[in-house]
Amino acid sequence: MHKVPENRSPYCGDPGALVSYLYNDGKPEELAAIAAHVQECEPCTRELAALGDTREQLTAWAPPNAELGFSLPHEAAVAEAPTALSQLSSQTPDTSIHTANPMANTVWWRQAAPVWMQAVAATLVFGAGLAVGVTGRGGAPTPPATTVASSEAAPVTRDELAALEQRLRELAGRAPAPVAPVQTAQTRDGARDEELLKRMSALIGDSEERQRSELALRTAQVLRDFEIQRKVDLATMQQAVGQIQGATGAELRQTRELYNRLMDNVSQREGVR
Amino acid sequence: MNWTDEELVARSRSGDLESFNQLILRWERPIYALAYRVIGQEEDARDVAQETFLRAFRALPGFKGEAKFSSWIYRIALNLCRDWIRRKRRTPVSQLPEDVDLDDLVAERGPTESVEDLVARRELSAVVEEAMAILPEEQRTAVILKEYHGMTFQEIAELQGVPLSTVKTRLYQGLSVLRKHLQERSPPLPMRAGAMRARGH
Repeated sequence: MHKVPENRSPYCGDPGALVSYLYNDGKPEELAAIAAHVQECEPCTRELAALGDTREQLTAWAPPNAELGFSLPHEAAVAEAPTALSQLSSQTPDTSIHTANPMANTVWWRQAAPVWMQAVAATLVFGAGLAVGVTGRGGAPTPPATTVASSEAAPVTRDELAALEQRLRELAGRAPAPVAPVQTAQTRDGARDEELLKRMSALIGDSEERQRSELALRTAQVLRDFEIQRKVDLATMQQAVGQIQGATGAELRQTRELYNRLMDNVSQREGVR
Repeated sequence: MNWTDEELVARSRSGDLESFNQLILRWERPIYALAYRVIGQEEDARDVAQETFLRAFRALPGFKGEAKFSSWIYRIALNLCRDWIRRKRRTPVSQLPEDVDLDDLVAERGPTESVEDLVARRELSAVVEEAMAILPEEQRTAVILKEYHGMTFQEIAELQGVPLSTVKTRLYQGLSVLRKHLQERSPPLPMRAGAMRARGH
């Protein structure tokens, strides 16, 4: 704190007064009194100049130029409105906002559906498809939506699907069906089965034939590869044996030459004696 | 038609969504700036600003107009900022840009500002942001509301729920800390030639 002049004003060095004067925020008569003091008090003038300089520097701080463009879509407003009306009959705004994480309350229309909801949707679609397929073949009307919807969010197992199919078949069997069309259908089915069997047999025969040919080809290929490899190995071995024979012959020749030289030396010495 | 805030609020309360969207358009930038300066995180500031308007919309039926709409929405934003700070249990962390693109700088500068001045201003901005981050929350908020949002002491006192004298003390203390920090750290800046801003005295 600065040195206080003798005729001290009540405003001298008072942070409240300095700040009021600095921001020009206060009652006019009070501001006038502070101004009169500042004009006479050099330390207060210096303090105010320094604070003013600081304020000048603060103007340099600008937030990033973010893209904002917030707006409430109509459907969001419709969804939000009942909540707002029910919540705020007697609340003040700041009590109502003190609750939570702003991010946790991210608007609901932006959030993805939970996994269980997606699973239920998938089950419904699958079940409906299955039921349509079964009833389409059996010709009897069934209530697929009711049956599948009763399974709720629980995952559908293979057994449950089998049970469902069985039940649909039973329902189909119970339904009154005209005789003649069924017979016709059975006859048609038998003919279709025979044709299918024939086609299957032909396919299996073709497949076996193809496999036999492939096996023969593979065997021939393996034999050919084996023969080639055998020839290569044989040639390599012959080459190696030849090298060994060559080396051995050279050694023998050297030994023989050495022996002959020694014999010559011996006979020369005997001749001298 | 240029409606006042109060008129737009009245229309919004009677179900005119477009009027509320006009209020958003009018106040989104100041609210975002407030959130950014208080919490110091760009993305979170966006979220806080967005949440502010959503909460305001929800609370609109309970807004009786005793206070100005701006004070009311500032209060919502400040409460959300306070929640954010409490949740993070930390003072704001400055996000200072590392890479400065010269083209961006040139596009950003004012008509009479040289690139050198602009670079100096950005450096000073970073130093100010850093200095602000060291202030206690209540001082920082008081300085921000006064300096950047032009609120009166009385409005700040109401927003912060403290006496007028406390607001003045917080401002004085905050400015003193900032002054010290800026004296130590700030780069020379040509535009600082003028000492005090002329504010009618």
